[in-house]
Amino acid sequence: MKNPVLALTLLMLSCSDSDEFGSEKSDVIQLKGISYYTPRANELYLYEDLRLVNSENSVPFRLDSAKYYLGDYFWIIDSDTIRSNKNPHRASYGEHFVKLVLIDVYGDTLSDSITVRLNEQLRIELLSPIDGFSDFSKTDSLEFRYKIGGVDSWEQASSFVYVSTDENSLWKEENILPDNILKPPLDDIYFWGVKAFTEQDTVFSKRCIGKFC
Amino acid sequence: MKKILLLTLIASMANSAPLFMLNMESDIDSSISALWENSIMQILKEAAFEPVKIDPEHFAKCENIECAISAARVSGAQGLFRGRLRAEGKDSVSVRLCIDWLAGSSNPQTDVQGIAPLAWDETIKSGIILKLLSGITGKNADIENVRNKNTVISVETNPEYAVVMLNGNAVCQAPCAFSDSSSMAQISAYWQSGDNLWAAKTMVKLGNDTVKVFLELKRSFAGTEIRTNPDNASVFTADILDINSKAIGKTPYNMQGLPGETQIRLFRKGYNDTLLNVKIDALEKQIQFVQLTPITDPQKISEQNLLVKSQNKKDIGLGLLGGSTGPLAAGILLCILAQDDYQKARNIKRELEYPSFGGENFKAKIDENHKAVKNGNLKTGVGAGLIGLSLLLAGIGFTMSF
Repeated sequence: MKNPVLALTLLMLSCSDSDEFGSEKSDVIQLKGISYYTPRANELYLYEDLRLVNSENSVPFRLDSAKYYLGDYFWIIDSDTIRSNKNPHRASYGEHFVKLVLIDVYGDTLSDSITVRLNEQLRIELLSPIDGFSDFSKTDSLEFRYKIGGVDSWEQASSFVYVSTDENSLWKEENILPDNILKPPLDDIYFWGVKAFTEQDTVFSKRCIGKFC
Repeated sequence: MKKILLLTLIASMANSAPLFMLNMESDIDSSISALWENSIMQILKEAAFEPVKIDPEHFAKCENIECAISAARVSGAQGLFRGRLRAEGKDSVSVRLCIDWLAGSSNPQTDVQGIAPLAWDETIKSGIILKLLSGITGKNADIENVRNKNTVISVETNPEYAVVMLNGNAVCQAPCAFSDSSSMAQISAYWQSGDNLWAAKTMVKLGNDTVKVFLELKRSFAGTEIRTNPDNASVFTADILDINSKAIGKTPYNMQGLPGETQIRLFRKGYNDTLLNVKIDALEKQIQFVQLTPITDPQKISEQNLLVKSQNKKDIGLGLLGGSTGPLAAGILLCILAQDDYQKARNIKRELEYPSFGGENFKAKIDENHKAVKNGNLKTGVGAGLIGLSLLLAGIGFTMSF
């Protein structure tokens, strides 16, 4: 009499095993990191490295298709929350905090953040002597003055003044004017220029002075 | 035929030995009780018996009537006379007379009962004493037929169509008429609707050719309370007692029913079964007292023990059979609840098929799934155990019951 009951119990218990979830079979979403690209001024392209990993393989996927797997996601750029994955994002020059927050269907969150630096283009503004200046007789020395712009806070900029009577050889190292003062100016034509550079950029600017310019 | 032979035997025994008389039980006026006792003694003497009034102290050592009968037999009495008078309404008295005849090895008993007027002169006129005594002694020759004239009794009731009873026996449905030759008659009527009973009764003096009786029925809660000594005897219907007999109650037992006479059987371990005539009055609550007699015969004791044992076994079996439904129901309920847990686990498992980060909420869901399965397993295990237990109990109960 007991055997059928025992058999029934074992049957029911064995069926119940199939209702138990084994975590080893589940797919796990991994966020390996985020990256960015700034091809043009004020344009920020953001990319995420997402993987769907299980015991057998690891498949990359885009955030655009993550709606099938995720409950929600959003980007945070500085203090702005952006619920879109549409590139490019508009961003000004400077340093920005970028964070990607993912929320799965269970309400768990996963995030990664980076600091994005949008470089301002390095530029040189030559101040004096002005273009075409030729009255050397009234002075026994010429001071070359210029201004460098677009140096970001995280950048270190260097610059040199070059002076030569030959335009083609202006940017040679021996033409660097250490104290930016030429004395006395004896020739009728001079080419002078400034080379400014940072780790990322190098820019040049030149002028011609003298009566034969 | 047996009764005639018995009465013949009794008659032949007269004058051979004294007939012991116990004091009559009575709840009526003591002077009328004394008149009854004296008259009975006188009539018995005239019928050639030797009635001897026995002081109760003669049977002081006896706790029951069986012992008193044995003691009377030892004393050489030819019989033991007992009587009882009970007030029956305002104007009448219920009489019961009984003699245990002590000749031979057995104790044959003669027993009569009737209704008599409460007034002594009416009792004498009715000749009921002679009628009753002839019933238990078999001496009809001395009965004086004081009345042989029939009186037509016409009965009407409100409401109509009530059952009309003459001296406790149903005779017709009102309005109706019937005749009787006695000097007094108890006319009662009852009308039943569902569980409710309306009844009325009256005593009528019969002397004229016609008597008209009108009974206004009132709500009746009458019944007869059966008391025994010792009490706690099981009350059965009058059928033969076997292991399938089902007790309808225990004494003291309040018997309800339609007015009239019915039979019940009283059973108590160690005592003889007693088949009892119970009279239910239309209007008044009655108390009927029964002295149970102990069994002395070893074979009877053995048979009764066997019956009791069989009944107990059957009762235990039925108890187990009935008791098995509890675990069965609980077991089935647990199994059903277990299925709910499994369903919950399945639903969670389905949810868990979505990819996750493996975070806290995901782990909590897995724990919830595992807990549901664990609960289901526990309930299934306990439920199946209870079902198994109930089957075991039912099997044992069935084997013991049938």
